[in-house]
Amino acid sequence: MSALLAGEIDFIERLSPEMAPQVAGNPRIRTEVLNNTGSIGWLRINHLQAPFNNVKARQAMLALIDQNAVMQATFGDPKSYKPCGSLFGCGTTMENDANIGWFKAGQNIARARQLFQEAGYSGQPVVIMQQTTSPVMSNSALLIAQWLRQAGVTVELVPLDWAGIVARRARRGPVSDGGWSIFLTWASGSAYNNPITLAGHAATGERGWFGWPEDARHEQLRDAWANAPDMAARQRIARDMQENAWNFVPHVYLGQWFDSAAMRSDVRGIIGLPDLVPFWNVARS
Amino acid sequence: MASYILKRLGSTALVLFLVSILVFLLLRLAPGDPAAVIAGDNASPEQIARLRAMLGLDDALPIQFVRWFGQVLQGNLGVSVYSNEPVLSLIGQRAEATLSITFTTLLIAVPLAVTMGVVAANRAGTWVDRALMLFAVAGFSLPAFVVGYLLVYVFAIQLQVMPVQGYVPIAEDVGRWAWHLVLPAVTLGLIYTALIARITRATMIEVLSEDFIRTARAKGLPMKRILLRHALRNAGVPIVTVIGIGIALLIGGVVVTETVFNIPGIGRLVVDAIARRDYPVIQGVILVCSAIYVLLNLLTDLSYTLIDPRISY
Repeated sequence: MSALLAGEIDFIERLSPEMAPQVAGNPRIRTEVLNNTGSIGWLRINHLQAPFNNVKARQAMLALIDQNAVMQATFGDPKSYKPCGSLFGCGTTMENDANIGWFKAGQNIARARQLFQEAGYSGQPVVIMQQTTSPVMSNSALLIAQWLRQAGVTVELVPLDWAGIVARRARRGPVSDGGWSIFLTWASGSAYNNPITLAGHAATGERGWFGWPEDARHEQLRDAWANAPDMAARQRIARDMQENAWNFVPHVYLGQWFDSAAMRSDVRGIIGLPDLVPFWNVARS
Repeated sequence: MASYILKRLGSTALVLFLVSILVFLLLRLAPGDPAAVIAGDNASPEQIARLRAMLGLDDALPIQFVRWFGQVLQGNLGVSVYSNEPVLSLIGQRAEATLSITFTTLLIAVPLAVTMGVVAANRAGTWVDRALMLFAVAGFSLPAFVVGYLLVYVFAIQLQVMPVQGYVPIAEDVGRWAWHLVLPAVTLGLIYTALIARITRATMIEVLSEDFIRTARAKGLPMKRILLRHALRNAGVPIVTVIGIGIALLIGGVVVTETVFNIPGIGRLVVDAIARRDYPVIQGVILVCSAIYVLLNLLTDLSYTLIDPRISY
């Protein structure tokens, strides 16, 4: 940021939220959201181990999380984030509102507590891998730990860097054997739009991505989506997929945020695309 | 002297062998998996397992160690598991920036610190001594990242007389090379100056109370000559020792300084390697730094013979 302010560099792809006030009102610097589908944080839960091998415990997580609060903790400015209840991300072609009663109802910790009780939760520790190298992931983990405790869950926060998380998340066993219950990560908003290419959209059990959700209906719908003849058919299947998904809860979302790029005011020709910035036609006027 | 040097080089080899075992084991005990980092967030466990096998990370630890150390003995520090480039080549690419900062720091800090120490000792107990030592305490207490960002804010952002960040290779432009080194060297040099100044002052105060100094004064020698020719030379051994030890501090401190000033040196290389669990790079850098440190200690010990004729090996 200092280099941009001093004119030593012309462009920063992602402006840290805490740096935004430094450039606000500065006529030499322009900010712009280039990726309109932003990024979506998600919480992967271990479907193989208690308590989240019980669907009620996973549904409790939907009631537990206040996406606004999670986003506020890191991004501050409400213009830079929004809560999102769609399985396919918001602002995407597959976005829909099927089965998002939990999202409209908002956070309900009493309901989460009740669902954990219905899941037969008996005080076993829930291990959250807290990614300390990412402010949004680290802050989110702290909030989720606090809400889980309010819902009567015993929580153990394990601070790790990303390399530590990717090693530990491969362990499928119980937390007593070095396993885990929850980890947090994120992907580009546009990635969620495609239930085939995003590995985390699969529900193929232990053959699938970390967290290992399993649901036969979900997999049938993914096949149908891949073979659908046109966009309209895919959107219909996406609705069915979401209707089913928010019942068995493959994962939980933390919110959607929109990083601004920051550039010198005289930089021209930047094209906004999800996930990449083409520079071939960029110039200074 | 030659047999002493040979003996020390022998013990250096032993130290480096022990360092290599320690670093190898500590890295493997730390949580993390280079294969999982390289494969990316979207990779399946099977893809990660295949990559791990390909990188030889599935082999037993003694086999991995013997394979790596065998390469080291042949002068090959291995290949980065992330970039697939030889570690020696990566270190070579980054060495210029780190050595430039280190030597610029020495160039600024050593004359300044010794002068400060001598002046403070000569004016011990006066306001000059207190002011200089206050500066030394402050320099020692402030972390490099705080000093670095403060310098950037004042000289690069507010006054706009210095570059904010980056490094220009000496072959590209000598002037810009030097200009980009000023703030990093001052940042790093502050702690180093403080350390040497305090030791110089303490040692000089001790030497200035010796009988031969009183004799020199009684003979009517000028104070400047007494300080520089008689006292400083006799205080030389501890000062040279702390300069030698301080270079190890510089090597450690350069990691933070390179990050603050976005300099692509060995410090940044090792920070990135740790984040990726790039074991060969971390091992290689630590081994090279340990070798430099041990050899510097040997050179420091040998330099005593030049300062004090009573010392011989």
